[in-house]
Amino acid sequence: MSLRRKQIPGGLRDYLPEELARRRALERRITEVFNRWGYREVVTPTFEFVDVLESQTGYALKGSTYRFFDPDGELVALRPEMTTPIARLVSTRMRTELDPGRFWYLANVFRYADPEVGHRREFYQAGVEIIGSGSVFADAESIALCIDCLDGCGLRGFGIDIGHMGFVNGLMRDIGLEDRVSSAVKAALLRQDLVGLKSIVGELGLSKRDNERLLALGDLRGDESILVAGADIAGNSEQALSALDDLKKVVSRLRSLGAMGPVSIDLGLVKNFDYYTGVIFQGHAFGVGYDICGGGRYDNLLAQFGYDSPSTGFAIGIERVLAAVEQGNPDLLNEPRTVSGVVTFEESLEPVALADTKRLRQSGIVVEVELDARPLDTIFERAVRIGRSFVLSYSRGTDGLRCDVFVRGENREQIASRLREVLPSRRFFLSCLETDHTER
Amino acid sequence: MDYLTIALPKGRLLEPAVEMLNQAGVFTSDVSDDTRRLVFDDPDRRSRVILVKATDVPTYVQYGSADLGICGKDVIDESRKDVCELLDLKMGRCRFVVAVPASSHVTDVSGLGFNSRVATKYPYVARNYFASLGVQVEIVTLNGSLELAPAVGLADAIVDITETGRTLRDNGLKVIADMWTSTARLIANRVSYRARRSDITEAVQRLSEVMAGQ
Repeated sequence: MSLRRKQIPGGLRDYLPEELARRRALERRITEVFNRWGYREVVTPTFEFVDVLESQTGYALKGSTYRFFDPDGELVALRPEMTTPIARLVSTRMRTELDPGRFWYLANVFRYADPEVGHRREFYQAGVEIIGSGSVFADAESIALCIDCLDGCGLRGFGIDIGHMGFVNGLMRDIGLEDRVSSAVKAALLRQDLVGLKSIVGELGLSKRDNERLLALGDLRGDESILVAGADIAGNSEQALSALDDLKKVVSRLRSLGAMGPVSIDLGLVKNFDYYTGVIFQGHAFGVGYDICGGGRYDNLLAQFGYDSPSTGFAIGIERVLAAVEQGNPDLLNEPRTVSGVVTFEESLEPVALADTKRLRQSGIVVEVELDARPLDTIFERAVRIGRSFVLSYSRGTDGLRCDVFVRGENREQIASRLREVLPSRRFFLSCLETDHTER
Repeated sequence: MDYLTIALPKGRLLEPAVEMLNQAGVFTSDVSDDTRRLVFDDPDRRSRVILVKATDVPTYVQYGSADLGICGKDVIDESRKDVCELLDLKMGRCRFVVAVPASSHVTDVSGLGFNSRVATKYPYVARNYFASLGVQVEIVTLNGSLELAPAVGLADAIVDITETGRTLRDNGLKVIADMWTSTARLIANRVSYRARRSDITEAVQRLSEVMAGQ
């Protein structure tokens, strides 16, 4: 076998039990919050028709989906994000259940990316979609829910920036920019390339005032007072003014929901998916060089699937939040150890030992069975290494069945009494499972 | 609050970059690349300079190991790293050019034959440039002494940066195309730019003032 066959492609990763346990703990914290807010889980296929997945994701994902032909000759792709599949699912299968529909997902998504640039090709997202409500209160709910999730993960010191596609688009339309220029301006804002923005705007030959209005997009970020500054540069653009109005309502709602703490307003915020139409947001955390979550309103996406329904939602990047949480508090996601042990037995005692094992497992104790009848020393060494709290050994003594329990850690007595409780008819000989007995 | 970390490139940009940061009061300690020291702290301003290889500046910034960085636009574009460009520092000016042997009959890029070989330290920038003109060339990546490549028949042309064009002339090369001009930029990590907006905005403001005064 060549070495290459022992590797995995760049941008992918394995999870070993302990890392995965922490990831699962994080996922549980997030999805519990989703459930508490009345959202219901959905699952969509890992791959779908290209036409569906690429309908409106925009230039951010152009050329970055994994496409292949299935044996029917259909062109399919691995899902690069979850909003489009859920829009497809709801608009084709669940129309009657809306008003509005609140859904959550936890899924892996796939994007072709250069691992050199630090992006993964498979990563996990947890997110929600509120489908069938055009109210800005749905946007506020989505933002507050996102904040509640991040709080629930134990993440500290994160920030959420809120903006509105209508502000940027309205301003550019008011100034009369061609589509080509608008796209360039949005691309520069997306990269936060202020030098590029200046150079694009400088070449347009606009009035001094319009020049300033466009350049202000790179700078209009802060607390609520930014909305007032925004009104100054919105001019007569109804679209931009109504965007400010939406943001005002969102802010007021977030305040009532007790979720304004981490929030800033950024009127120059743009997103990398073309389907966004209204309020948008993204989150960042200290110590993680990338956005950790993001979302917004996408009122036209479902119409692509023949069902015109206003919608909003967000996704949280699981790996990124995990990195941020662990940076702040490495032990936060380590679950308390449960009582767990190893059972070993002489061959003739198999029926007794395994019947006991079944009862122990039914009572919630984690039990592994020794498969290779190795010497006790070997079993002890391994049990200690992988963090088991006891070894239970069945042997035939001079006066019949003998059960030795070797317990480890400070709460030996507790573990022993737990075993006695589950198996009251057994007489246990209690010893200590630590270096002292292995020397014996 | 943590120190504001600034990645600076070793080499010709270092001295003017440090001088600018000093004048702006963003980082007021001395920095020198003569010693083996790579980290310099300014406890008063709560800022820190780290010295890295010029081409690594965008990497340190993208991954958030540095909040800010100073490096040439040529390096940023070639690295394809995802960083915010905050300010054109208007120093370290140099031109990206295409050059061929002075004796060559080629006078512009379209004159390069089908599948000509082009040597460069900037394969990504060069490939994009030729692709945008619809000219098919083979890119050969080298790490230095580009001028030599045409002389020994390794390449028909080179893509390189030059301040005055003198080194090119001295090595018997002529410029057939000016691609664009690169200057040093102040770059920021995307998240730092949001999470530490006020510190960074203040630094940008002060650096702009220093530039305006020059």
